[in-house]
Amino acid sequence: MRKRYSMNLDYDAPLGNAYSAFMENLKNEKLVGNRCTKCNRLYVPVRPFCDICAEETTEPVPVDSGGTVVAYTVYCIESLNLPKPPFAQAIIKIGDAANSFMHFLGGIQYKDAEDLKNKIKIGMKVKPVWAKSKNGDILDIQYFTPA
Amino acid sequence: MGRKVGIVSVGNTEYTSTRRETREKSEISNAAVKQALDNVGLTMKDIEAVVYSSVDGFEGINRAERLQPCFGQSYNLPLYSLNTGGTGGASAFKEAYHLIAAGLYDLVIVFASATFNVVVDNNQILNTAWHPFFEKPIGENVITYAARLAMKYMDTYKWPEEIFAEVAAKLHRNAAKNPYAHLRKGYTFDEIMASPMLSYPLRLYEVCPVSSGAVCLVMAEESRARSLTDTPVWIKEMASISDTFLTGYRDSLHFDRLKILADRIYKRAGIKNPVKELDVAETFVPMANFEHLHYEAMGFCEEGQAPELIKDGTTEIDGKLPVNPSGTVLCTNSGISASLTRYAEVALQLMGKAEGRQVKGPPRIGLAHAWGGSNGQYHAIGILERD
Repeated sequence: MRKRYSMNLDYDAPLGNAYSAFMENLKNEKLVGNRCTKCNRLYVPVRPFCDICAEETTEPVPVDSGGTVVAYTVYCIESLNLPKPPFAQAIIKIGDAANSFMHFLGGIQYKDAEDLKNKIKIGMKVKPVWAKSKNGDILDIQYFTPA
Repeated sequence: MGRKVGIVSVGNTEYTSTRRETREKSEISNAAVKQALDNVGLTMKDIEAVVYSSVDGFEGINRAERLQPCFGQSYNLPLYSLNTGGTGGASAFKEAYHLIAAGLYDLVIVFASATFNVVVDNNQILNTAWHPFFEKPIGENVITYAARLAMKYMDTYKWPEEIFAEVAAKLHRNAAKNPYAHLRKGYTFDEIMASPMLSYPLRLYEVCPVSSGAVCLVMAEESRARSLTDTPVWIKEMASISDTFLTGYRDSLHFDRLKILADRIYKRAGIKNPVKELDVAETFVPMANFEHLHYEAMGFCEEGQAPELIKDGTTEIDGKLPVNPSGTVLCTNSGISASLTRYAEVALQLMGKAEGRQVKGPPRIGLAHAWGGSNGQYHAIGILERD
């Protein structure tokens, strides 16, 4: 015999100053980054403190939201609680940030998943397309699209 | 340097798919623990401590106590519970090594959970291991993570996607010879290339199954080890390393921390040319492209050249350095047990007890590796040797 069950657990997380500023700015269609006050590394998305130096980071400031595709894949299978396939997903570097971030690639016409894979290139310049309704969430950016 | 520590016994269960599994979680655990003890004529009453590993979210319960009936709950034993994601089994192994080397205990069992045996969809749970506000909402899971690395590897070094099927074919061929593998069908290159695409460029048979089954080791201080078995396997060196939580610091091309770790452990073990000096290696390969990245980080070849080692047979069971004669995680992903299994497999090879997958020699010195964390925050390497 088998028994199916699930656990629905709710959480409520304080975001701190840096992440709060990042998410608030997304509502206004702005991407913000910050820098380490010691090594001057740029972080987009912001970091609450420098991961390398453990020193404070600066107040977040708007950055040019254009980015470059570092790596990507097109996911082809149905998985519980994951976006409907196929979806293209990439690591995107904004400007000369020391980190990079993960987002969907979209706004690309394609026949099938393989065609979508072929239409994206590593090194491609991309820009954000903003969602119509915003909640201070990473998905306020609907996806990045070829610039 | 502490006391010399040996592996004296490996207890394995049968492995199957999580969907076909009929055994309850504790039954699987008890079978592995009991076999490990029976092999060397011990009972739980003889054991001084238990080191256990599992990982949150996959067990259908959030605490280890569920498995207490398998861990000598009647004998007042201390239980150490570790969680470093997929490397958990290796971390437990390392902790047991430390405890015995430090002189705290002489006889310890290490058990790694049959983690996945209750999950409905592993990717759903894996997705919850990424940052809830930055990476989880983007559908991240270990297949997308590995697939991006594979795309980047092809783009950087101009290899075709067939290189992943070549690795997978070797591993499926090896697993067919391993009675403790889950997938033993020996899928060929053509069958692998014809299997469905999961996430470009990785196909179904280039990605691990979700397996049920577990492994347990008995470890002992030198004199106890020698009294329990004629084939103790000694831990020559053991080390681990960690990396950032967020994915965005990686170059999506290399396992750079693994390279640092490998360099560190080779230096300590006095290994200058791993291909020449190691007799066998078991590395943690849930997705076929990881094996390439391991070769390069572990100094088996130059960057971008790993597919050559597959093509020329260097890492076949009868090659110069057999890598993953068991078929590794690609053919049996029993969750946290899969990381401890890498150490168990090298131990079985060095004991000369690896049956159909036995490397000739028998081998004298081997490397065991584990990888884990949501996007590989952790690597662990052990160098094991026999007398």
